[in-house]
Amino acid sequence: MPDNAQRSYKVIGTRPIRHDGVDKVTGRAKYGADVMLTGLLAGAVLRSPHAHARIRSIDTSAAEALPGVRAVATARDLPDQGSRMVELGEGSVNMRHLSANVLAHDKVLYKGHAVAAVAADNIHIAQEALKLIRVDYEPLPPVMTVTEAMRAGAPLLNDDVVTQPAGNAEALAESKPSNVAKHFLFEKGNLDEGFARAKHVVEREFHLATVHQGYIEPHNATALWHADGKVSVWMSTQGSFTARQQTAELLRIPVSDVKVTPMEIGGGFGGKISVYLPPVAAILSRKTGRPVKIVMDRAAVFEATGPTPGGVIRVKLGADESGKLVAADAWLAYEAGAYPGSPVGAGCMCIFACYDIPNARVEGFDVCVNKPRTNAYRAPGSTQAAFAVETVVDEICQRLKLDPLEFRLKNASSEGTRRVDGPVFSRVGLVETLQAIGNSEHYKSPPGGPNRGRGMASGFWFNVGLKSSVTATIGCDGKVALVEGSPDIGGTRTSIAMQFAETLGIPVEDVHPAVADTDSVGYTDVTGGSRVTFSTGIAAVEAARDLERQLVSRAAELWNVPADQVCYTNGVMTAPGHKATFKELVAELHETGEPLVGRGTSGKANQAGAFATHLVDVEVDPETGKVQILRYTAAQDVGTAIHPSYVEGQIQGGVGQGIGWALNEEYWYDDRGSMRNATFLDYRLPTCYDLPMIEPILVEVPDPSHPYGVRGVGEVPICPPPAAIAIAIAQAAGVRMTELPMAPHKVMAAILAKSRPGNGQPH
Amino acid sequence: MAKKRIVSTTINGDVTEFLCEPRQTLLEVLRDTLHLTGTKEGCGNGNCGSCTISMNGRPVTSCLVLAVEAEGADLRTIEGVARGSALDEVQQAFLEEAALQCGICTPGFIMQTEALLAENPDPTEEEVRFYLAGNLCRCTGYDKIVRAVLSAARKRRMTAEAAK
Amino acid sequence: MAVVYLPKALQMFSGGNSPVVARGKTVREVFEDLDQQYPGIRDRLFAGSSIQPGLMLAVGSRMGARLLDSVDEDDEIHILPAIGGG
Repeated sequence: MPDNAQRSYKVIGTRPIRHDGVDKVTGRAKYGADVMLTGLLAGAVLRSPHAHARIRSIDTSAAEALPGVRAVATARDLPDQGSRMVELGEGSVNMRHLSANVLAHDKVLYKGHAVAAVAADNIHIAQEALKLIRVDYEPLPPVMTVTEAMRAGAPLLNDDVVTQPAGNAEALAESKPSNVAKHFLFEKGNLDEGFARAKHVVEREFHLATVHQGYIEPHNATALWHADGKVSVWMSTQGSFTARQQTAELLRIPVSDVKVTPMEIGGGFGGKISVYLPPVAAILSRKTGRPVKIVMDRAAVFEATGPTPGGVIRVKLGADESGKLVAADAWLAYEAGAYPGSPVGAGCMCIFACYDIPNARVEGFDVCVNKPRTNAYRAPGSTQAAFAVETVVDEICQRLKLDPLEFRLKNASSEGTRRVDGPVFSRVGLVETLQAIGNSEHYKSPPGGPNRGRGMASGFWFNVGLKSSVTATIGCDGKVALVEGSPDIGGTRTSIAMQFAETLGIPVEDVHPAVADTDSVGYTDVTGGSRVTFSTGIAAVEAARDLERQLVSRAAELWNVPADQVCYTNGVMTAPGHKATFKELVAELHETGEPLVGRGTSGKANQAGAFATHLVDVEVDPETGKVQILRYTAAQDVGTAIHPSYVEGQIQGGVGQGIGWALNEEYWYDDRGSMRNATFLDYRLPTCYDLPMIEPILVEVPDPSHPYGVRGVGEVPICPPPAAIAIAIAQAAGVRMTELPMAPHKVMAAILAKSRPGNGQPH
Repeated sequence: MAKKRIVSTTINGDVTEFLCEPRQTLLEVLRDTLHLTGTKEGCGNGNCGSCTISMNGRPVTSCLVLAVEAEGADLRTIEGVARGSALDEVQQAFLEEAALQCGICTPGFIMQTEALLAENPDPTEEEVRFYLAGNLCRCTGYDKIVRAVLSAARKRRMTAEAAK
Repeated sequence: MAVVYLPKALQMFSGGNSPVVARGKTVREVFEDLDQQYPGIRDRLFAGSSIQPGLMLAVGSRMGARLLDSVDEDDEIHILPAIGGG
């Protein structure tokens, strides 16, 4: 069990330059779209102009006849999937739905849904060919919100989806197709008794917009179907092994016949786990015998990938006279998009996770609507939940005239708290993040000035463990090639190498980490769930320990002493009468025996979960409703910070995304279900001119399940910002925002709607 | 398909000629014809700044420039920023300040920063944020990018001072 | 005896009761014992030799437990919806 206060590290906690840095600042790093192969063809995808329609027929003959066109593909080229569910590393997937999402079968379920694809000599010919494909659609009424989709008699998206009930499972037998794919219910204590004891009760309904992960690099894939039936794929993906498995399952070929080479990846945030393009590129390659590269344009990225769900959440909280929460009730309906699978289950499990509440109930619904199939986005499902619950918590504090920090400290979850979904928390650091905010310079300096306000909010995310593999080969010069299977999205080559170097007692610069393809490294789950530094880190530590054991036994042999008299610490091997540094020893061993290769795997350890508490000051322009972020401080329980700069970076990046989610990001649909802002200009991610410096406070509460106390840091920082900003707006402008995003026109409308004039000043 | 044209340019100091169709963008030719893939495409319509290069000393989003417009132009891309194998101050600062996570926006940010520092060797934080507002980064929240730019500016001024 | 928290959807097997107790040295053995007590529950927990798709297990506070994980006397087992990270 780690006790970091007692330990001093040589490598962990330092800030070395990342190993892949030079290639990334000189333009040499190869991302998915940079793949060039002999005979490469360009692929392009035809996408549905309708949000909901039946496909009567597709005529590709004119496209096939265009000079320079080499192949055309439709769903007829994909094998039948039946109705199987397949476990794909980070959750199970209905293969028929996944296949229909890759190329629409008999219906299109959202604007932008892939319908056909072309491979041609260049991208311009491919795009011209798309215009020659004739698709006969029978348009159907689109269903764009959870409220509409749950209504009796609503147009039905999928006739093979029936509600999986939370309660009486016998209902399954007689159930009819529905847009509601799943119903969740969690209960703890006695809700009615709890509310009966409550002195103050606040209940609010929240409306959430659909948002996108917004990675700057579009999806891409290059595939080559070899003459022996094997398939090679080069792509940017968060998980090369899940991409391989999805591709193989979609093509119904043996999983090991597919090799996925993960190229550098330009952001993912959960959106680059599902595959879209590899099976399509593979089919086109099979038809042409040549490699085919497909790169999405930005409109396709918005209209056909991501997003994360909008929906509706109702929260009711009850507190007793002393300010203790005694009852909590929540109702969540999240958009699944075209096919089932929203993160509403996780949203249900997160919504009250920050609070120790004796009586609670959480109910959730996974609802199909005519939008792209939703995907994970950084703490999937938790940000929406935090926006709702934290806003209500703040209103309770206002009613009770209690300080929001004291209220949270009084009700905070800690080791031993039983969550509403059942499990009991182990060592977690919510209280520490609250205290860190309380002790911050920011907290002690009032925001000051007219139209200004301050908000505080907390958030929770689980973090996952899952499986990783690492191999390490010691070179004759004492440097180590470290081969791992985790695509590096934010500096994890270095955070893994640092743990390896720490364990083996060598400089981190002497470790050369590389991310390998699926034939060249052991199985490794996705870069997601804040798991890489934790779980691939454990694998690297195991690989270092494996090498250490080999070094000890080889030194014993070399020096002719019993192995139990050989000791290796801090990079130095000693035995009675003998001493050698790591490098000296390695030089000798390379002369005298077989190569030194270590291996490490992980998969048993699971993380304890991460908490964050944020503090924000805003100014609301009373003339326009525009919200300016003045100051932002984010305290987070980060376990042990391996590379503090990249831990800070994860927090700052998550906050940046959370601010965008809070203030301006949303999918704008017209009444035909067509997204009207599928460009960066109109969707508008935050720019550097919109944001202040973001101050991270790293609270280190080591996770006992990792040898160095690592806790995943990537996801939870996105959870608190929308809530914290809504609370700050309430203080600044006297209006409670219950709808995301809190764009200027909505804030302005709320200000104008206030019945009492003159309330725009801080109170 | 219209007839291809020959375009003569200077790229990163080398005289370079290429053949292109009139409809091809400079970005497409740089990447697909000349294999200078350090310049990235994020949006294809000038919104994200990932494809920023220097054209006759000015920063441009190369996805909005037709390749034929580059006739006679002096172009500089991310591949031409380092001096031989030595990184320049901006590249070095991006590494030291951990200003990149996934790195896809980094070439565009570095090219835009080079333009900023050529115009204004001593920018304030506000000026940096204003000048870089056309470059999108989704990973960092911009904090460390802004710090890296300020740090590079400082180092470059110190080097200039020392050279006097 | 392990203490098993059943989700609402499985409480029809236990007459609405949760948690329930069952014996076993591993999660799998505990579930086999559950099936002895509540016949049919097995098919809702297993798909072949693995856990049903869409479910996630926790032993004590540790999420993501596996069927072969060992279970100590008085350990809690939770059957939860699977989650995916971003």
